[in-house]
Amino acid sequence: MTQILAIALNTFREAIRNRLFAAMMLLTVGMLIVVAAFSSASLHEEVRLMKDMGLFLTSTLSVVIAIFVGVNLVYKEIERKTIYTVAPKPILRSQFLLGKFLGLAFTLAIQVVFLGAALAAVYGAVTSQAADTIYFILILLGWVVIDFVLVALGARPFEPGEHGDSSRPYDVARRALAVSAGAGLVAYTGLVLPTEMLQALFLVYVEVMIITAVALVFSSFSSPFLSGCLTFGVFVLGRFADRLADLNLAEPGEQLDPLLERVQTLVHGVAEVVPDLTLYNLTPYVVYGHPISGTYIVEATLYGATYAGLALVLAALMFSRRDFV
Amino acid sequence: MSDAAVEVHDLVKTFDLGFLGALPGIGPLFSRLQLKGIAQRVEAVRGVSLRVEPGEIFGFLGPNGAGKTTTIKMLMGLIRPTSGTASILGRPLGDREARARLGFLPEHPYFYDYLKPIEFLDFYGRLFRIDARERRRRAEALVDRVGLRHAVNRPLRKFSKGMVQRIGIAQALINDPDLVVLDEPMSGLDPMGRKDVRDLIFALKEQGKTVFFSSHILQDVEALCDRVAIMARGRLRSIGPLHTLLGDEVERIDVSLANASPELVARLTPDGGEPRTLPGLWVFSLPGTTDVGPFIQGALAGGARLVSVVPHRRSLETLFVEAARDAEGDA
Repeated sequence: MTQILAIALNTFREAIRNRLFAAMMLLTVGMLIVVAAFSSASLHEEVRLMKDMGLFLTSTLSVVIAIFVGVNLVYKEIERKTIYTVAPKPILRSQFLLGKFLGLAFTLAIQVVFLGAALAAVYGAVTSQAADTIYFILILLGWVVIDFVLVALGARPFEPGEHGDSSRPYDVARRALAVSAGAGLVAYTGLVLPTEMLQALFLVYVEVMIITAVALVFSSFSSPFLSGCLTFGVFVLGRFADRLADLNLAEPGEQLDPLLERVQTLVHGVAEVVPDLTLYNLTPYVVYGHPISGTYIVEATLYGATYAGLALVLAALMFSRRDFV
Repeated sequence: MSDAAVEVHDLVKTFDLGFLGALPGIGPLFSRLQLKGIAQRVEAVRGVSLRVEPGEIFGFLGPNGAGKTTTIKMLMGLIRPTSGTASILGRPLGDREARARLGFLPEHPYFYDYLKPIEFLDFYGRLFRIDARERRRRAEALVDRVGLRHAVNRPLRKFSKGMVQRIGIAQALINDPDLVVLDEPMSGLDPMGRKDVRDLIFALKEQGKTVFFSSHILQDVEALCDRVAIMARGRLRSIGPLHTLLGDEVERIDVSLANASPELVARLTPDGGEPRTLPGLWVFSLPGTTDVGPFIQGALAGGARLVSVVPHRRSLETLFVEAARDAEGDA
């Protein structure tokens, strides 16, 4: 477990220090602000439009970030040959892959929390609860300003060791500040957003985990571009899994052409294999303000965990057979 | 169970190139595709067998593309042998207990460049499940040992090539290994850096550790190794102690004379061959089997002053070049 956590921590550190990750987060926040502006222009439909577009953007962009980071993480280890020094250590390749996944899961959890808080701030603005938005800005500004002051006083990023720099007061304060700000954002989101939106955000995270596991399967044997295309393909097909499963090309009372019948069988087969991501689209419930039952959330989570687990087993099998040339 | 540090029997590695080669289970189909020109198969290592004894410094030589790095990668579990067997510290390839006693520096290493040296070494220490206090102690000691104390607050992306090589050696030693495998450890190092690595390798031997390293720098191999193996075109061409491979036979003897008159030089030339001239010196190269006594007596009698007599044995470079040429001949 120590080894898996070491890989996870390292993965988290790498992802979080990636500037592109921060840029995509900022882009998403920017788009949420645009949504707020559009919503306020729509007559009496501000809240509905904001919920609809806000959730769509949060989930789609979270998935895009997950695909981008997911397909690159393992590939970069091989391409940059960092795996050459990790693989000969007393660690199984499956442990390495699991560590990568956990590190990414933690990174993406932070991403969803951050985007959820941003969504809450926009929601506050649209529902004319300006005070809510101000709290969000205060938390973020407070974090950035105090962090800046701590760094100026000599605080440094996490450094390991029982008696290392991590025990210096400024470093401890800096980490405590980050944890407090994160907790503050979670509490803020919980207080501002209605229950169904919180449930929807949670399921966005489950969906992101499934997609990350799929990205790891593809990236365990192909290039980032190909893995990215394949994962995005699975994501799109998964979003339409119910329609693909119900596809019926025959006209009522008509015998289906053999070729079309094969196409239909193929489409039904694809619908069986890709993850059913329609389970994670709660937009209709959110838009009309209907909370979802706890049972549904638990079942959707279990389905997601099982799918992601199987995908990880497949990724581990392929990864363990791979030559690092 | 073998008591050798490394033992390899008939190791073979064949690469199936291209996208198809990456697909699992393509092996049996590959030969047919190859015949149709769709795929390509390369034999990188062809039946290598060798044994490295505990406590020795073993040099692994060969020109570019000889198969050294592929062999090392198979031993390190980075690639799977097509056939053959190998053991590390008496255990089969991939055994976790053996890996816990193994240190490895790859060729042209790249590392997590956003980490600082102590963070970096701590990460590798965690992979060996070393406890936090001991990790810290070893990391600090290794930073000093490889001469990177001045760069301890710098992320690895700001390191020079030589500094990356040094931190790479440090990570190979974080677990205090019994066997250290270094793929081109002198690459990218300046003369001082090379001397430091040489000293470090000797120090490891003094601690009773086994060092298996590959290098292009023959001078370092001659200075360091107890035994060497030379590979070329995927096959092992020579293996053994350096003195056995090079032999005791003298190939030629250089006799340097000063104050030699042109008449004396002309008289000595039929025996000594065409001499080379250096400022104030004449250097005669005699065949290794020559009895130099009469030659020197003749020179002294002619008024010359004897400056030096240097016998030349077979060099590692000669052996290396011969192995490479033999391999070309076989191909």
